[in-house]
Amino acid sequence: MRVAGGDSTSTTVLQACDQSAGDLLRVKNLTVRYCVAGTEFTAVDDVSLAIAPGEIVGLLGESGCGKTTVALSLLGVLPESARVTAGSVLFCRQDLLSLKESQLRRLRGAQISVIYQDSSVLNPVIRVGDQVCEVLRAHATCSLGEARDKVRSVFTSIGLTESERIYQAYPHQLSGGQRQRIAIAQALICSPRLVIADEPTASVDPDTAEEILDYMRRMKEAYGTSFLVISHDPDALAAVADRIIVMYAGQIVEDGPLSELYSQPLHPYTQALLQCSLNRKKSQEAGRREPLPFIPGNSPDPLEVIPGCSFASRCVHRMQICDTHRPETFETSSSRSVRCFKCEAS
Amino acid sequence: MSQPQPPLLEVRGLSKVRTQGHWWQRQFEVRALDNVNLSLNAGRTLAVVGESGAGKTTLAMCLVGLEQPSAGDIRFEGKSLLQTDTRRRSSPARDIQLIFQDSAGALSPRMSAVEVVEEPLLIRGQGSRAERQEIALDAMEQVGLPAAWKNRNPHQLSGGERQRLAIARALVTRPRLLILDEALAGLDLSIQGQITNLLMDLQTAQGLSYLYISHNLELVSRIADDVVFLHEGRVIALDPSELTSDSRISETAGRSATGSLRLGARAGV
Repeated sequence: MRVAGGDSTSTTVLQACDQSAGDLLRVKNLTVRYCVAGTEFTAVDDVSLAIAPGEIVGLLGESGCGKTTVALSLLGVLPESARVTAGSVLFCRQDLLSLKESQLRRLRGAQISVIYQDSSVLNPVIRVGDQVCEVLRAHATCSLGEARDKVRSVFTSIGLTESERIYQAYPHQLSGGQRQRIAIAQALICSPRLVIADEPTASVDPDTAEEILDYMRRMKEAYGTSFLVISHDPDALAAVADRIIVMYAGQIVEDGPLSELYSQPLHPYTQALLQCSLNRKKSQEAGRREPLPFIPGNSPDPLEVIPGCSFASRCVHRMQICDTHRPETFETSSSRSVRCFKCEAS
Repeated sequence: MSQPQPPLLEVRGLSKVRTQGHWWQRQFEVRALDNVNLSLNAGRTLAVVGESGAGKTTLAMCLVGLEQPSAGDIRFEGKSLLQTDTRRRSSPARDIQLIFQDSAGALSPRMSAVEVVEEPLLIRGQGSRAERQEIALDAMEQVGLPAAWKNRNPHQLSGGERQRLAIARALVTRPRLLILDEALAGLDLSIQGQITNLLMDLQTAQGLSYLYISHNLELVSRIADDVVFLHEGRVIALDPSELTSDSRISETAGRSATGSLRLGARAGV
């Protein structure tokens, strides 16, 4: 796709991307702090991650652990109460955090796009088809007719079969799952290099979820698009991701290839989380109305500063050192890392 | 001979037709619900499953009176909810509570957590201020929200916490029927487990009935007594034990159900 004329920044970024064989996105020691009602707290704590071109990375963690904040800081769209206090975000070797707003605008939607958790991003008084069309025409030079045809073909490919009726509809005339797919169409229409998908399948039925995940895989294979898929559900990520990053209380606790991480989780939190979904399946076979498995206790209050490991209070392998010292990230192999004293010791 | 007890909720021939587009435009007719029949007895759980756009949410909206059906009747304990006038309608309607799919949009951003939870009591004029606070804090604790968070605004809570707040708000009025419209869809596995356990305990203790709208067949097969499958606004009744046997469903519900099941099965591997 052609980039709109006079757009020197994204063209140079594009060229830089083509030359670099390394990572598409590299986040280093990112720390984000929120200031709410006079109290400051850390939402994202020293997060480092990398995404290679054509890689689908799953960011797994429970609600409130800072997954969405990581995504928002990549795009420079953090709420006013939040600020990045440390770290860097390199996209095609260019630091996104140092770019001006006008430069970021050219990247957003065209190079990096985002699929939000809820579809309230849609304008209630504009037909959904025109809203998707608008994104395409903001970044590419093409006629209205061409743009509309492209929108309809994207609608069909993500399973919105009555594409003509859907195109003409307003958001309130569509169901939750259909709206979610419109938001996905908006994000994918410009064939971006990186798509950040924040819980893309949380509010859609399994059929649609599979179609969406399948479309992601096809995008990855056809255009080499990279995805950062954020989810709380290990099963949703299992279907699509190449690599999994597990977050807990603002920190990355484990990072590794999907198959290894799911078959041999190292961090106690990953173990407990996967146990939740595995146990549930086992007891489903056992019968109905039996209690479902869960991780005892609550995730720590972000306002509270914990001297030791943030998972210690819920951990079954808790040691003395866990309460007093913070574990550092420890690499167990070239592709895996974990933040736990127990793994470091063994 | 004793008269048989009427079911708690009975839906007969419910239809909802919407027209999209103005008279000068091309018009599309959408049959959101098409002759839906279902009944739910007290203390039981009826699950409504179906793909997105099948009319699940429209059904919930019709049941609580937020949308007027085009045809058919809804009976709560034998009394029609549609024929009584608005003032008389409000009394059975109090026993039905709806928890929305998108709780973020359903909670007032200007209220603190405890205000959100105690508001239904305030509207009914129940109890003194202190009593209401106590009931509200109890309900918050019940769903796993610490009482210390009572002054936080909904936007300061995460998605899962907001959903729990919405459930606490629905529980304070001690309803007899709770309609959960994908209420657990956005939650973490651990919290989903906790809340499902809580809902099952409440059902045992208080005889609550649930109309559980979901597309998560894994959860549905765990908690539902009866299952209806909604496809393009029409209902196909199923038995929860059949959810695992693939062939029977593919005959009754067609491609869509098998698709959902295939995924359910894959998630279950």
